[in-house]
Amino acid sequence: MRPEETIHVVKQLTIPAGATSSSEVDLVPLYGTSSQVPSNKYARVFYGLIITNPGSTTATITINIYASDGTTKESSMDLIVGASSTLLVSKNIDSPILVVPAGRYVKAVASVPSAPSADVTITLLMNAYDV
Amino acid sequence: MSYVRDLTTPINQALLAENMNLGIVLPIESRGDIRVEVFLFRVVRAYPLVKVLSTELPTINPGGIVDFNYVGSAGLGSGDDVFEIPEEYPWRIYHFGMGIKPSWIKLYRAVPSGYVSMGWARKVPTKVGDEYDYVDGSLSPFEEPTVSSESVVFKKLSFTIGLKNDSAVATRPLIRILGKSYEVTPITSKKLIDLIISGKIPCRLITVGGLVRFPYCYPPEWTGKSVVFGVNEFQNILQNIWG
Repeated sequence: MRPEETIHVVKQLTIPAGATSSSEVDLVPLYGTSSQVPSNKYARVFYGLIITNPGSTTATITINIYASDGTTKESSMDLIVGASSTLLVSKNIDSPILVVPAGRYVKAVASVPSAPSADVTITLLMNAYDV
Repeated sequence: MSYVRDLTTPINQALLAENMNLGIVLPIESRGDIRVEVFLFRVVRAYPLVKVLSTELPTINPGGIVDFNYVGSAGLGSGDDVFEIPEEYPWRIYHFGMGIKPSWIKLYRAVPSGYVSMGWARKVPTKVGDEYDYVDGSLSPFEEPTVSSESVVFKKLSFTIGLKNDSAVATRPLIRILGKSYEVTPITSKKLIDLIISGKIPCRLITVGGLVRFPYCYPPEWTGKSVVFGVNEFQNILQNIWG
């Protein structure tokens, strides 16, 4: 896999003022149309992750993996990012942090322990490739 | 190199130099008893053939295809045909591989136009997007095209390509044409032809258009300079030369 052939997911998760979580969003690759790992592939391999939390409280970003029906949740993981912080996970292209099998959907939602007084937009950037 | 069995062999190792032999194998029959028409040539002059197709190719949506069309100077199916050899060059042959970026782009060939180059024996011809008869960027990468994409073009042979984007992201591919352009002279001596066909004299024999039968044209200057082989002719040559 060549570096220029990796795909990127760039998503913003906005927690509205007065709420404690964002809506769940599909992690659609840049220039892609769906968060579903193509069914004719083996898996989507994520090897890099950056999460920026500009808010004044710790935020939890939950990555959810759904089955090919799009609604059955198969797995879920919480990533915690401190207030006004950036979480950076930078690995080699051959050292994945998450492997999602073909057909699955990958989505994310952000949440905070207490409702902010203004919108908080958390930025999520992920590097991946399909094999 | 006469025999190249490994599909991942770089095309550079299959190209010819001056004073080497090249054979063009065309199908007369491809079902039942096989019969082929073979033109044998000596390379007299050679020069690199290099081009990158970039802006000529469109951006393809995820899972999308671009149907067969000629490679035009202004885009697929638009402008002058890049592979068309003018009338005044009957002894010019292009011999090249095609390197593809990124690896998930699938390249299909229809040579001549309207006849998909196939290796799979299917009841219906392969279409662009089928999981058959393609070369992708992992098999013939942009940086080093391989013999899996080896092609020849001569005057009156049309060359068209189709593409599929087998990924989840919209992609504008790049294709690198890497090869050589030859000026050739025909080999018509029966003795030499028999020695070439028997394998005693090295020659790079290239199948045109996959394993399908198609009506073909060649330059009128080539008329009478071919040999036709069927099962019996092959056996006779091998027996005469090798005993």
